[in-house]
Amino acid sequence: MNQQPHTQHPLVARYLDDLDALLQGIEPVERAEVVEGVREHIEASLDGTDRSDANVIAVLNEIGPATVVAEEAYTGRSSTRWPPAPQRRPPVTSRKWLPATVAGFEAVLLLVAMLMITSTGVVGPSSSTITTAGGRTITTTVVHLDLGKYILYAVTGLIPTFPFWLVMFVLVTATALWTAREKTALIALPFAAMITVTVLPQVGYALTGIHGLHVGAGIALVLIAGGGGCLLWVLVRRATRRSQALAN
Amino acid sequence: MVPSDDNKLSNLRRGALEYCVLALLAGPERYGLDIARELTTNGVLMSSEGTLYPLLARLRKAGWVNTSWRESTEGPPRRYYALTTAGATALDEFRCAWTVFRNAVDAVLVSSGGIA
Repeated sequence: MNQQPHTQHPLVARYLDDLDALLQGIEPVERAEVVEGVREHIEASLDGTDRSDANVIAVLNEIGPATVVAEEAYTGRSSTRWPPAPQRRPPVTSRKWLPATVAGFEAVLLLVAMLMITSTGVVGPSSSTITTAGGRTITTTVVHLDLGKYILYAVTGLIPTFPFWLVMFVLVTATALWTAREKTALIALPFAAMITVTVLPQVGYALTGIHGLHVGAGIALVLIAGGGGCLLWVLVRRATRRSQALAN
Repeated sequence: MVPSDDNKLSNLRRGALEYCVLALLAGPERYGLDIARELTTNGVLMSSEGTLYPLLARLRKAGWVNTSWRESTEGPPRRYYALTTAGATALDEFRCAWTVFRNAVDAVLVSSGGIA
């Protein structure tokens, strides 16, 4: 029975994969018992921590190299099936090029989202001047809130970026450099940016009219460039460090 | 060839460490991390925490320990290890054998003037 939630940290996954591969020469039940024991040990050690890379590396160092654990498992066996340490390179999707590439695609998608802010012009004011029979000139300013048109513009703007998102989605899904939560954040980030850019100006307009529209658009830009940019930078830096750790 | 300090310790541990684990389980049942932390306290009995698990698997296979899962108030459910009757018997036999062995080794070392 195994009721433990499994950590999805790439370094842990890699360690356990290596250990499992090294234990191929012993009985499956015992092999699974050892691997699960180590996995539970990692979970218990990480419990209460922020599961940062530094914490994970410290826990793995205390556990010792997978080769040492495997060597203990082969102790006392007449079998000479003790396999050599796996010297394989990390998979191609766990190398340094991937975080940089994903960062590029994400940057393009965020940039497009920010450019979409220009389409808020469809919600801008328009003036009309009427000259009455009495010779009076009346100028009226009308602010049109054409949400349907606005969304249509936004969707039209998004279509050319779909290939970028699709490639980014495939890369993020395939790699082991991010945890499931981090992958979800990366995949959802462009959508969050699009929604921000669509909703905030509308909310601003609904609250205070044309001034609110501009304020909402400004806040959306700051959120995307600042918040989205920071999140992307943190996740990409994290994946780059992990790829370096996996390569060592 | 003169063994290094690590190899000397490794050779001394061999055959004794599993009984140290049995001794730790002579009281209340314990979980892996708890056992590992105690064994690695001074780095003499165990240097890498992970090596505990192949050892526990062997002990369970030999019928000297059994395992059960328990909910934990501090985190995820934990697998607890407990000494079986056969394990307790094996530990008692080792205690007797160890005393004889230790005395024999000490006697030789003392007679050669190495131990006061």
